[in-house]
Amino acid sequence: MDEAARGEGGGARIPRWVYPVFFVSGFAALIYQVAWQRALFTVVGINVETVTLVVSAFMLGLGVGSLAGGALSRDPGRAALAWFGGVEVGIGAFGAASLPLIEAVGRACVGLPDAASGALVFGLILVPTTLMGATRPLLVAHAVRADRNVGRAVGALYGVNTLGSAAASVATALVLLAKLGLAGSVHVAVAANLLVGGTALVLWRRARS
Amino acid sequence: MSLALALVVAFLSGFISLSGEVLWYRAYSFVSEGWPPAFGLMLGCYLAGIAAGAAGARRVCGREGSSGDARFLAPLGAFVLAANALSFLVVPLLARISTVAPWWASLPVLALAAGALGAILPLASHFGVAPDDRAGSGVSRIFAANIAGSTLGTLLTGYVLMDVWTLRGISVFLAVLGCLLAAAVFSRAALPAGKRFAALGACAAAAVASFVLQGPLFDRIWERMLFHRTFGDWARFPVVKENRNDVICVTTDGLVFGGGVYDGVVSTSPSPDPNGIWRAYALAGFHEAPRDVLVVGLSGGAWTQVLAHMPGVERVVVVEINPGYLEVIARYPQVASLLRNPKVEIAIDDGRRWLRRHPDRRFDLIVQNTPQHWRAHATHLLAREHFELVRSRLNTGGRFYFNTTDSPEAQATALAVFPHAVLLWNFLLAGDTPVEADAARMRTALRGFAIDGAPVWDFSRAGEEEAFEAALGKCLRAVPRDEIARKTSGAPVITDDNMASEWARWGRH
Repeated sequence: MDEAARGEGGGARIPRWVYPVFFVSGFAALIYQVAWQRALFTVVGINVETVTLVVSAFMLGLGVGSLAGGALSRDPGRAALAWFGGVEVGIGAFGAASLPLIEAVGRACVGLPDAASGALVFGLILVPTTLMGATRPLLVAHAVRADRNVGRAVGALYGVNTLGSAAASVATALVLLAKLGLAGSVHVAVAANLLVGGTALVLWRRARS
Repeated sequence: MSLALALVVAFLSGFISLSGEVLWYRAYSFVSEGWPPAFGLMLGCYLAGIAAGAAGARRVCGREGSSGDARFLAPLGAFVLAANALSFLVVPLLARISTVAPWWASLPVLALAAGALGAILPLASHFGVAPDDRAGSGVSRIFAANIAGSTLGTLLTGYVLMDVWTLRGISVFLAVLGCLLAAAVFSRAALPAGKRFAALGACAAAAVASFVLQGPLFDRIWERMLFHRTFGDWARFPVVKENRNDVICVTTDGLVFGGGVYDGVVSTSPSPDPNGIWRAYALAGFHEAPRDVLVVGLSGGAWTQVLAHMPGVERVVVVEINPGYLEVIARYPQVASLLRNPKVEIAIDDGRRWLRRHPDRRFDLIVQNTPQHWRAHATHLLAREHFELVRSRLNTGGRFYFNTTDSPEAQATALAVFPHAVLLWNFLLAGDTPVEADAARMRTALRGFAIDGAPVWDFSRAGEEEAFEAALGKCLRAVPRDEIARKTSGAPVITDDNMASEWARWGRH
C-alpha cells in the first residue's frame, strides 16, 4: 500500500484512485440505463408493461450481480480488483454490441407472443446488468481489505458511484442525447467502461509485481 | 444490529425510496409538461441526494460504533422516521412551489428527501456487517435486499398501486410503511422501557398524522402543477383520472390534459370550433372512399367520432396506450357513442408496436393526432423509422395525416419519407400519390355531415352559412409540398437515434 493510502496515525484508508474509478463506473451505468430504455421502447413499445419489464430486468440484474460479486469477493485470496476490472471490460464489450443486439431482439419479437418477447428482452438486459451489479461488492471488498470500517467503505463507494450516476443523468439529459444521439451516448459509456476496467487491471498487475 | 434487521431495513428503505421515485417522476413529468430533460434532472438530483446521504452516513460511521451495537439504533430509528416524513412532503411542496416559482426550484427538496432515504442503506450496512474478510459477502446481501425492495417498489407501486390508488393514497401508504420501519428499528434499540414506548408512540403518531394531513397537503395538486402561477380558487378539475399509464385531467370547458400536456377538447363542433376540428372534417375532400381507417391516439375521442361518421368509412381501428381515456369519453355525450359504435375497434397498445405486430393490416387513412413534438418520447411517433412503417401499411392511394404540432423537424421528416404532401394548418397529409382536394366532394360531404343522426351544421341558425363557408375555406387552403420544403429547409430529419424534435432544441421549451 502506498503512502497516499495511509491515514492519520498509520491507519489504512481506501486508495485514492478508487474514487474516480467508481465515479466513472457509475457514470457509464446510468448512460446505458437511459440509452437502452430508449432503444428498447422503440423496438418493443412504450406501454407501461414494457416499462415495467425493462425496469424489473435492470433491478433483478443488479441484485443477482450484487450476490454474484459478493460470492466472488468472499475468498480473500481472490483478487477482487482484477475481477472488477474484468467485469468492467465485459460491460464495455456488451455495450459496444448493445444497440445492434436490441434491434435484432426487436425484429425477433415481432412474430412472438407477448410472454416470449418479454422473456427475450428480459434475458438480454439481464446479462449486462448482472455484470454491473457485481462491480459494487467487488470494489467494496477490495476497499474493506484496506479500510476495516464497513460503513465508511460502503458509504464512500456507494456515494461516489451514485454521484457518477447523478452526473451522467444530468449530462445525458442536457448534453449527450442532444449532441451525440443514442449511439454516440452509448459509445461514451463504452469508452468509460474500458478506461475503468483497463485502469483496474493495470493497478492490479502493478500491485502484484 | 443483527444482519437480519439490517436486511429488513435495506429491503424496506429500497422499497420506499424507489416507490417515491416512481411518484416523484409522475409529478415532475406532469409539472414540466413532459419536458424531455426533466427526468434526467430529477434523477440527477435524486441520485446526487443519495450520494450526499451516503457521504453523510460515511462520516457517522467513522465516529460511531460498529456491528451489533444497539446504542445506535435509537438515532437510526429517528432518522428513518424523519427521512420518511420528508419524502411524504416532496409532492405537496412541489405543487405549492410550482405556483410561485419555476418547478425546478423544488429539486433541492427532492434531493434532500432522497439523500435522507439513501443514507439508510450504508448505515444498515455499517451496523449489520462485521468488518472482516467476509464483509464483501455481507454487504452484497444487504445490497441484494435493497435491490429486491427497490424492484418490488417499482413493480408494486408503478404497475399495481398506481392503477388502484391515487398518488395521494400511495403517498400515505409509503408514509405508514416508513413509520413501521422506524418502529422496527426502535424495537431493537437499547432504550429504557419508557423511552422505547415513547419512540413507538411517535411512530404511531406520525402514521396517524399522514392520514389526517393528506387532505390539506394534497389538495388540488394537479391543478397547482398545471396552472402554476395562475392557479387560484377557480381551479378545480371535474375529471381527474389517475392510472398506471398517466394522469388525465379535464377542465370544466372540456379541455383534456394528458400528463400535464394539452391533449385536445371534447368537442366535435366546427361552429364554434374550440379545437380546430375542421382539420378532421377536411379529410372528407382528400380521399374518395377511406373505407379502412387507423387512428393512433384516442384522447378525448372528438377526432375519432368525426372519422367514424365520415361518408365512406366502414371500419375504424383506434390504438390508444392509455385505457383511462375510455372512462373519460364515457362521461361526455358528444363522444360517448364511440364506445358502442360497431364500426369502431379500440386496441389498448402502443401505436408503433401495434403496427409492427399487424403486418397484414392495410388502411386507406392513418390518422395520428400526435402529442407535442417536444414532449418526452414524441420521437416514437415522429421518427423516420415510424413514418416508413406507416407508409408500408397504407393501401394504394392511402393517406397519412398527422399533427406536426408546428415542428419543422416533423414536417421535414414526412417529406423525406412521402413523395407527396400538403399541410393543413399544422396537420400534414402525405401519401405516395398526388394529394389534392376535391372541392365539390368536400362541400357535399360536409353539408350533409351528421354525427349520431344530428347534422353537424344547422343551417337554420343565423350565420351558419357564413360559418360553413369559412370552415370550408380553411379545409381547402392546403399548403403545397414545395412551400413546406422551403419553410423547413435545414431542419433535421427525426430518427430514433437523434430524437431531433425532443432533444435538439430543448432549450426552446
